[in-house]
Amino acid sequence: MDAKKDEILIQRYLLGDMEEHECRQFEGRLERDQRLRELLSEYRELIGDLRELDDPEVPEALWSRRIRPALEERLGNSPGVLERLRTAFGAWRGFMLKPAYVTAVFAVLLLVVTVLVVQLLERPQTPGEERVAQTLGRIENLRQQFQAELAVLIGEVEERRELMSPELRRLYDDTLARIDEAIADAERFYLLYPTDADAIEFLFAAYDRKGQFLQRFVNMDL
Amino acid sequence: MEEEVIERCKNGDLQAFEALFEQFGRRLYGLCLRMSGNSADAEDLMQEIFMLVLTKIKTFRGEAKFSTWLYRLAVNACISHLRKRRPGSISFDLGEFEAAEFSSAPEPIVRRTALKRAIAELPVGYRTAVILHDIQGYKHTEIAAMRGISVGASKSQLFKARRALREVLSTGEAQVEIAAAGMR
Repeated sequence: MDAKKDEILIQRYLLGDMEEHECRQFEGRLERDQRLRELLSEYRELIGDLRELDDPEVPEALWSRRIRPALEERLGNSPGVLERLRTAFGAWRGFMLKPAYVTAVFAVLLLVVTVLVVQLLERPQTPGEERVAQTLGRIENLRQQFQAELAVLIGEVEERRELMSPELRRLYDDTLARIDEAIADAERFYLLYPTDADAIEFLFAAYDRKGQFLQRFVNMDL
Repeated sequence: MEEEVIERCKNGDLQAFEALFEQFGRRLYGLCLRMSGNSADAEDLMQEIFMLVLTKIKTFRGEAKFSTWLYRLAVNACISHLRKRRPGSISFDLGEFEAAEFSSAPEPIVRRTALKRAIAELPVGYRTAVILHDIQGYKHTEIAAMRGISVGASKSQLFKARRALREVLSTGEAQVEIAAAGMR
């Protein structure tokens, strides 16, 4: 039977869209035909992956930042200044201060965030693409800040290197090398897809892990 | 409850619109994001959809479920937006970045990225079918009502969409991407 027809049969089977006799016939073929079984398995995997792409969270303050002002304008009301300030700050707080990202390294970067929030407050409302371009710039800026903070932490650990036992030093070097490999992978992925959410998350999480690792050595009682 | 909110929306009550946003916003945003492939367009679409609700809600007579009416409006807005979209628009899904859980395994990330990109490349009709059925979990009868097409057409578009996605993923594009990213 041709592959195209088989694919339709598989999808009808998965959808429960077959008559009972068709279903029995198809299952009989499945037992005999390994290629058909593989194809069915590919479809199951694909559908499973699609189901995992569930609805993303709505961006912070989308209602108050974009939709409410637009509705108010249409209805003849104008948004209040306080509402816009609250919205601008809310957008940043939602982005930056998620518990998963609040680490020692991020704490150092709060100063940078404050500056960015002030800049954001001074800006008028912007359409989607402009906001994205601004956010991309901030992400790149944060990436550089992260690298700088990690360099400072490495310097602090290096100063304590002499106090480490040879065994601990070896553990530190080996682990750091593995973390750096993971970061190099994450950076390559990010450079390939600088606007992809997963790539950005993967990279920042890798930096965060390195930060936590280094912090442990900075705080270690040697 | 829903009827009361709808009546208040008809009278231009912003709090009632906010209630609609809270109830349907996540699902609508998911639709807009998957259809457009980037958060900037998704935000623009969300705004457009609520503006459409404002202007058209007076035509809602309660003959269909409100969610079906709203979704029909949203799907049509997405399709119309995609047809108008200029080529070469930037692709960006910051919305997901802001919200998504972190996963440490790179291979699933790469496969998911490849899948999202493959969905974004599908023709609009196929993309709509796969988003509504496989991602958002609507039945073909609901999709047919939302889109004003037959159940058979909905199934046919879904089958073709899945076949296209399977081909993209099984030709090793994900593996190529992993290799290109220097990952093991």
